[in-house]
Amino acid sequence: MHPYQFQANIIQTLLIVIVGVILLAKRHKNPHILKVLFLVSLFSMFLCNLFWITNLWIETEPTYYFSATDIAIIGSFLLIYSILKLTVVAKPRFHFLYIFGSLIFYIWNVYIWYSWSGTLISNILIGIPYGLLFYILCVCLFNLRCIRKPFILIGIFALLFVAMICETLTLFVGDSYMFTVNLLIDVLFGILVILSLVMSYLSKAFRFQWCVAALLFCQFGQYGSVGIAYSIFVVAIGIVLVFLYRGLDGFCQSNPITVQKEES
Amino acid sequence: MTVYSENLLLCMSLPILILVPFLKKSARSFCIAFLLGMLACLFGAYINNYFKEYLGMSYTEAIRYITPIVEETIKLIPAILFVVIFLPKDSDILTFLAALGVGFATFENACYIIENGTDSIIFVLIRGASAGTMHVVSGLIGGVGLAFAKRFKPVMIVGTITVLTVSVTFHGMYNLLVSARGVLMYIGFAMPLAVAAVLAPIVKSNKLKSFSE
Repeated sequence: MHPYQFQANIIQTLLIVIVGVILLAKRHKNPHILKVLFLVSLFSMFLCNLFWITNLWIETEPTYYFSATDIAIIGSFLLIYSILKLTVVAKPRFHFLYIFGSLIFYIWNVYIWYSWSGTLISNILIGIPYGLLFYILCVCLFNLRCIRKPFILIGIFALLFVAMICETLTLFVGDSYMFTVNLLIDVLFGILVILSLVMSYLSKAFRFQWCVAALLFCQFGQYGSVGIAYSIFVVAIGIVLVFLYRGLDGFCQSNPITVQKEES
Repeated sequence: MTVYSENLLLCMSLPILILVPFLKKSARSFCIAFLLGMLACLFGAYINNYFKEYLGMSYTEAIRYITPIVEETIKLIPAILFVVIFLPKDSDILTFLAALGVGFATFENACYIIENGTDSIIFVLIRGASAGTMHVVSGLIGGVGLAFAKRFKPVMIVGTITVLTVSVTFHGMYNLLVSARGVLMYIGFAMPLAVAAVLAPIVKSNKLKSFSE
């Protein structure tokens, strides 16, 4: 078990509960569809954490079978993908380029995770929502021109590419270089998370999309890190969710789509 | 004692099956869902055993990690077909899923009782009130979720998957707690009843009625 993993998971759960309670407290008579989906996603994440914490408590060592935790995280990230998909109104340009890029991203990650854990089927399933999320983020961030200076966006994707190369290197380097490579992975994902959050602050119209990018990088940072960095990324996910709520709230205020009654 | 589940299923389902043609629409759909729940339980047991052997898991590991995924998935399949083929009202979806859960729980309880006997009233009560309620509650969760997912076409598939994930996690939590020792086990036994107590006013509330009718 990573140091402070148990505590980090509890902090993340508390943050999820806080965001969920705020969402429920500020609900309207006709709730916004995106907020409803986000609430369900949070609930799924909460259940995932609850299962994981209870499992850690009972087993004392984490088990890596494909279980309810993985199913719950797949569900919650698929919902975040759906939320982002609903925010896209324009038909994306370079559609096939994004699909191709996401496919490479997906296969590459599954290969790395498979090499680390030795389980193929579970990693194939877990990778699906991340692949979809990566695709929709490409559509949102590249296609809608959410930033005026595209080199920042290209720089972020280049950093992600370097981080993934470092992750691949962990499969080949010896023990003497392992610490350096792991440190590099933690630093790179940390920079990516901070950059995404800074961009969410600068770009008000795309605050939510950038927060989702930060969440994705946090999740990948968590998977790729060992030791205390793992626990830091776990807590960071909870913090990013707070920003995500803020971003979604802003987006919903400017784009009202409420839950309508079924047509009879 | 060896339990021949297939024979038990035949014995339990035949009277209901004969009754079905005589019933009106809502009662008929309840009975069919009940039968499908029992059938799902039987198939779930086959698949669970297959994965347990294939992955080389112990009994405890299998009920903690594999059983919730298999059982909830197999329970949701007839429900999805029901929604897609018959396009029912939201309230009918809820009833169908609840009946599916009751059927599943009834058949599972019957098998357990035949295998372990009915000597201990505590055991019988725990089986009925906790494991039985768990399947009903997970069915209700599925019903509310499917009714919601059906409403929003753009998120229908993702919504359905999320319904499955919530049911699986709830079931997984129950199995995990029950398979532990001490206080956690008792929390596990109480969990389905507690969730049912929370869910009942929500299902009965005017808000959900206006949502579902």
